Amino acid sequence: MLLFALKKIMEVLLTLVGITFVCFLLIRLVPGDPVLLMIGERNLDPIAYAEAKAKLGLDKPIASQFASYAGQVITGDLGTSITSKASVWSEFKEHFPATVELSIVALIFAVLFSIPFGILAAVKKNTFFDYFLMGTSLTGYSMPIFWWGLVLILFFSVKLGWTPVSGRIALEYDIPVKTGFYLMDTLSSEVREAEGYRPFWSAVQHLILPMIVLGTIPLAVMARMTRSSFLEVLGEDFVRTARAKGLPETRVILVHAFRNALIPIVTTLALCFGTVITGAILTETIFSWPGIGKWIVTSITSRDYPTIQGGVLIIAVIIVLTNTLVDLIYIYLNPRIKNALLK
Amino acid sequence: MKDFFIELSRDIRKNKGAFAGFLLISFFISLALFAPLLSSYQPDQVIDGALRLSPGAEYGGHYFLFGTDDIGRDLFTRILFGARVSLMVGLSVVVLAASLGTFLGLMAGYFGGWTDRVISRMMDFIMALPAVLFAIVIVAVLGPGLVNSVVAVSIVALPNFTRLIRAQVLAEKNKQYVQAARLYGAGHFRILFKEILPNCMAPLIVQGSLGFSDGVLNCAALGFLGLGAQAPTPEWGTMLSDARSFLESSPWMVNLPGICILLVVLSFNLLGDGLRDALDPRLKNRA
Amino acid sequence: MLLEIEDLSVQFKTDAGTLEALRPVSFSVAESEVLGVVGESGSGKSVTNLALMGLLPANAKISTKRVVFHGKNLDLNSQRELRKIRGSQISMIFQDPMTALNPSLKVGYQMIETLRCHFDISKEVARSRAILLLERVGIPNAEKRLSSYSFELSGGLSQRVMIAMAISCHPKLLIADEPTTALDVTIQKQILDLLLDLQKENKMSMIFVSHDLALVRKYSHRVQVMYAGELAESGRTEDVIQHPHHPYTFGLLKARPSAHEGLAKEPLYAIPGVVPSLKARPTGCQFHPRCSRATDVCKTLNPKLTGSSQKFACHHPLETP
Repeated sequence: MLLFALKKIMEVLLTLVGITFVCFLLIRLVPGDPVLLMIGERNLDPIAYAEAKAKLGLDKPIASQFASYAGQVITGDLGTSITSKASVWSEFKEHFPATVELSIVALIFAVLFSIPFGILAAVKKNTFFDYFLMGTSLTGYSMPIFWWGLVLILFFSVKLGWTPVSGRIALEYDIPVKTGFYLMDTLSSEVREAEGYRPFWSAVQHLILPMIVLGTIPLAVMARMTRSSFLEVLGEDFVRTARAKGLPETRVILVHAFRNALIPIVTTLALCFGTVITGAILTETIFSWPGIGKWIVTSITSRDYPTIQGGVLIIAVIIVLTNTLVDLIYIYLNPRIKNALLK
Repeated sequence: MKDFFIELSRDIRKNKGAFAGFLLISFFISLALFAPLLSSYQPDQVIDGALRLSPGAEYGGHYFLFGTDDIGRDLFTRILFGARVSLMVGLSVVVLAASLGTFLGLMAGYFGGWTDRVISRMMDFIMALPAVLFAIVIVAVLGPGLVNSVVAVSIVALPNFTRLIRAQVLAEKNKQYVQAARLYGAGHFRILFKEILPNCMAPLIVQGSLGFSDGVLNCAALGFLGLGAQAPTPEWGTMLSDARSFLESSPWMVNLPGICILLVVLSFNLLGDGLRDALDPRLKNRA
Repeated sequence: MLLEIEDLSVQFKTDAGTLEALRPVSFSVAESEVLGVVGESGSGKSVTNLALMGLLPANAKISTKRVVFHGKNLDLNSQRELRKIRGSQISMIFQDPMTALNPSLKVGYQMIETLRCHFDISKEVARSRAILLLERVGIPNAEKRLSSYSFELSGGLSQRVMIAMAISCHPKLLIADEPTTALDVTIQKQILDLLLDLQKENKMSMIFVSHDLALVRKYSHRVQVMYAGELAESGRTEDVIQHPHHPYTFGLLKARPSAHEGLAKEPLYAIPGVVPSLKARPTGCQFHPRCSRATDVCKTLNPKLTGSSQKFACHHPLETP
C-alpha cells in the first residue's frame, strides 16, 4: 500500500514537474524576444529593457531560470497579465468558478442521461431502440460543438426566445460574489430578500444551453461506454446466478450488473474531464461565458503570454490531480484491487 | 497483406455502419477530387452584389445552390473546396501521427527499459493536457495558420498511436513466431518491421480512421477559434466562425459548413467503429 | 411426481440458422429423488436445466406440451411465473463457483438479499439465518465470512456459499449443474456428500448433472443419459449401469477408467468420433455415425424411446430384456 502510494505520488510529481517545464519552455519557444513578449511592449529603451530582463530573471542561465520559475509557481506567483496588469492567479480565481459550475452541471446532465440510455440500449440489444440510441450517440460523439451551440442558440434563443444568448445572468442583476457559483450565490438570503428567486432563474436559464452543448460529447461517450460495459457484464456467470436466485430483473441489472459495469464507466467519466475542459474553451467562446476557457482564448488572441503560460499550467495541474483522484475512486470501486493493495 | 485487405473490404461490406461510413467518405472524396469540375466559380471569387443570398437564389444570371456569403462568394464552391482542405488536414494528421507514433511505439515496446520510460513519460505529458488546449498552446507558440494547426493536432494525436503500437508490440514480442525469427538470426529491424508491424495493422487501421475524424474535428475547432486556417482559405471551421455574426439573418452560412464537418467526422467514426468490431478478435466472437 | 416434463424442446435462432439444442424430451423427477443426468458437453444437459429455470438467452425458443411442477402447470416461457419459483422452489448451483458469485458484492449481501427476496424478514433476521446456513454447509468463521468477497474464498468455499444460498429458501428441487467439475478431486467428495446430506435432511429432489458416471452411480437414484439433445437412455441407476441397453451408455461405461483394472494392459477405451455439431445433425439415429452396431435403418429412422422402467432409444439395443 505504502509502496503504491509512494509510486503514485512520484508519478504525479514527475508529471507536474514536466508540465511546469513545458510551460516554462513555452515562452522561450515563441519566436521573438521573450523579454518583449513578457512585458508586452514592442519597443523598450535599453535601460528599461535591462531592468525588465533582470526582473524576469532572463539574464541568468536557463537552469537557474527554471529553478526560480518553479519556485515562483510553488508560492503561487504565476506572473502578471500584460493586458490587465493583474496577477494571473487572481484572474484565474475570478474565472475559475464559472467554468467549474458549467462543467459540473454539464457532467451531471451527461451522467443523468447517458447511463439510463446506455443500460436501456444494452438490455434491448439489437432492437430498433438500441440502434436508434447508438446512432444518436455516435452523431453526438462526432458533433462539432461550436456549430451545435450555434444551432441551439438559433433555435431556442432566436426562434423561440426561450433562453438568453450569452452570459451567466441577466445584466440587471448585480450579484455579490461569494462562492462564484451563481446557482448558489443567487440563493443567498440578501439576494432573495432584494430580488426573490428571479436572479436564480435567470442564472438557470443562462446555464441550460451551455450545459447541453458542453454535455453532449461526454453524454455520447458515456452512453456508448455504459452499453458496452453492460453487455459484457450481463453475459457473466454471476448475473445468471442473480437471476437464478429469483431476484427481480431491475435488481439484477441495477445492483448486480451495475456494480461491476461501473468501473469502466467511472474511468470514462474521468477521461471526460479533459473533454469537458476542451469543450469549455469552445462553449465559453460561443456563449461569452466568463470562464477560464474564454480567458485563455482571449489571452491568446491578445498575445498575453504570461496569462497563457500561467493558465495552461493551472489547467494541466487540475487535470492531473483529477485523474489521480479518479484512479483512487477506481481502486475504491474495485474491491479486488483494494484488497490487493491493503495487504 | 493482400489477403488482409480482401478480408478488410469484406468486413466493411458486412458491417452496416462501416459501410455507410465508407460510402459517405467516398462521396466526400469525390466532391473534393472533382471540386473544380462541379462548380463554375473559384472559392475566393467574389460576385459583385451577390451578398448573403439564400440557398437556391439566382442573381444576375448566376445560380447559387447553397447561396452566397457576406462578401458575395458562392458557398457551394467554398464547401466543395473546403472538403479538400478538411480531407487533406485529416490525412496529414493521420499520416504524421501514425508514422511517428508507430516508430515511437515500436521502439518503446521492443526495446523497453529507458527507451520505453522516456517515450511513455513524454506521451503522458501530452495526454495530461486536453487535446484542443494542447493544440492551442502549440499554435500559440508556432502562430496561427493551417499548417501549424495540423502540426499541433498531429502532436496531440501522437500518444494514441504510440500507446497502441507499444501495447501491441508487448503482446507480440514474446510470441513464438518472433522467437523463431530471432533464433534464425533476424536483426532488430527485420523483426520489428517484417514480423511485428504487420500484426499491428488491424488496430492501426482502426485508430487511423478514428484519428482522422479527431484530426478533422480538432482542426475545425482551431479554425473556429481563429487559430487555424486563416481567411480566405475555404476551411469549414474558419468559414463557420466568420459567419457567426450573420447567424440570425443568414443561418445557412453557419449551418452548411457545420453539417459538413459533422458528416465527415461521423463517417470516419462509423468506419472506425465498424472496423473495430470487425477486426478486434475479442469483440468479434462476442454474441 | 414433483416435476413432470412432456416434450420440452429448445431451439436457438442464430445468424447461421435455427439450431435444435434440445429435441422433444420428456422426463420426471419424483419427490426426494436424485436424478443423475449424464452426457458429453453439447448433449443438452445444461440447456434442459436452464430452460427449466428460464435462464436461456433471448434467442432461445422454448416449447413444451406440458410441464407440471408440484401439482401446478408451469409455463416455461413466462418469466413472471418462473421468477416466483426461481430461488425459492427450484434453485440451482453452477459449474464454476468462482465466477458464479458477484465479485463486487460481499457474500453476506448476496445471501441476505436472496433471503429477503423470498421471505418478508428484516435484515437482522436474514443475517442470522445466513450465518446458520453458512455454518450448516460447513464454513468456518461463518460470521466473518459474511463480509468476504468471493475472490477471497477458495473454489470449495465459494461452492459451499453457493449451496448455502441455493438451499436458503428451502427449495423443493435443487439443480446441481456439474457442481464439482471446477474443483479439486479432494474437495469434490466433500461437496457432493454435503449436497446429499442436505437433500436427505430437507427431503429435496435433486437433478445432478455430471459427465462422470462414477459420481452419478454413487449419488443418484435414477439416471438419464443424454446425447445430442435427445434422451438416449434412462432408468434406475443400478439397472442402467449394470445392464446398459444403448450402445452410447455402454461406450460411456467402457470409457471410464475403473479401479479394478489398475494398471490396465489395454489403453483406455474412447468412443470414436465426436458429438455431432448442432449445425450439421446426422439423419436418423443421432449416434449412428459413431456406433459399431449401426445398420441401414439407423441412418434413416430415429429410434423412439421405448421400454417401461428402463427406457432407451435404439434399434439394436444390447442385451434386450
